[in-house]
Amino acid sequence: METVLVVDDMVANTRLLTSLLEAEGHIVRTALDGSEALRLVRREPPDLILLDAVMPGQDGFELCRVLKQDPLTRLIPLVMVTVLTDSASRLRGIDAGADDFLSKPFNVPELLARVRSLLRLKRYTDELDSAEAIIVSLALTIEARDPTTNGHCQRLADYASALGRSLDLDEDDIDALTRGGFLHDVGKVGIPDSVLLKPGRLTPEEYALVQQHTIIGDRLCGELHSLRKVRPIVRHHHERLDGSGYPDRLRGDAIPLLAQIMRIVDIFDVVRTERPYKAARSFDDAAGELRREVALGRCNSELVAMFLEQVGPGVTQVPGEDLRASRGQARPSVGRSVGHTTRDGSVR
Amino acid sequence: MSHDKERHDFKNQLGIIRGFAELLVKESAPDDPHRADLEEIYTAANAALELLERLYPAQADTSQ
Repeated sequence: METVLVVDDMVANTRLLTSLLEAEGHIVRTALDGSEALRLVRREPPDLILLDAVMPGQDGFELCRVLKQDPLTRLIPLVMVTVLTDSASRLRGIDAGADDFLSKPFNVPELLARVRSLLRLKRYTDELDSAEAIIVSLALTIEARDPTTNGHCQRLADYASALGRSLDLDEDDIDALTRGGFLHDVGKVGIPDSVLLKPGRLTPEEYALVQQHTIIGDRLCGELHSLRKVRPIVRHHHERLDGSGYPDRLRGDAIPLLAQIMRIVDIFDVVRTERPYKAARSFDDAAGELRREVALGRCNSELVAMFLEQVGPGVTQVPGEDLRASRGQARPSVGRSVGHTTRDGSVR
Repeated sequence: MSHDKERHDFKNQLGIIRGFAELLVKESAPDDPHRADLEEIYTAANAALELLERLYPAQADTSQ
């Protein structure tokens, strides 16, 4: 059963909507002002919000803006309910992010049809969300196949999003960097353990197989609209500026910025942490590796300089220390995880 | 401004009367003795809303 939140300063209106919607089998919560509505939404997010535009104090437009700016609430469909029929008010509502409008007094069949349609939309959104959650679990499962690099994905998500913020990227890009940290290697699900976990050098055929993880990952994320900004990271995080990377041998600016960022932070983290074939190395070693990549024309020098300045020798984690714990972040545990080995070409 | 506010509130009240009347009509059985009375309330509220629109047309809304 789906929950509808009705926000209106007139009790009689909330009662009327409650009766109409409960008769249709919906669960209805009501709030008489903006702050009560915010409290209810944050405590128990509804599936749909019907919001009166004109209320004393914080009006519906303001509340709509707040809800639509918050990533936690912006996917909840929101209908502005108003006796205002002029286009200026509609524009205000659209600007504030309203998904639909209803005129008061209600045309009851129209009200119920809109509510049904928006709840259907919300179900699709929820299904997409859970599909993404499955893909993220998949990525973490792959990490868990090698128990040596606890938290690689989480660290990449942290490093990459921090660099994105320094570059003043917009929130959608920063969000993509965070998700990209978790998902960049999801395609390794399609690579056999015998190759992925093989001790020693890979044959050229095996190396070619490992390179496929970028294409497999891209395809896995392909159906999900919510991952459209993450896909370029998944596909292109092994491309090099000089065109010697994979899978598409892209050159220079043709490589998406977000993918370039991911490659830099990935190289850094691999050098800094212990792997089956090597000990953890110092910040200076990691910085040296990145500068070598720049000298070879494979990485963007400004991005590298900015990243190294940002992480700095004193800020980066001591190998073995859990970065999440040291920052006190409330992230879900990623469990035992694995990251790259040299065999996928991160650091060669 | 206060004229608009009054018009807005008045329309709201009429909407509530009409809405509840519509709800009660919907929920009453065809042979309910009150059904015709409820339909009268609905019709009257509807007529009042139309009258309001005619006397004070919607452009009054634009200043809101």
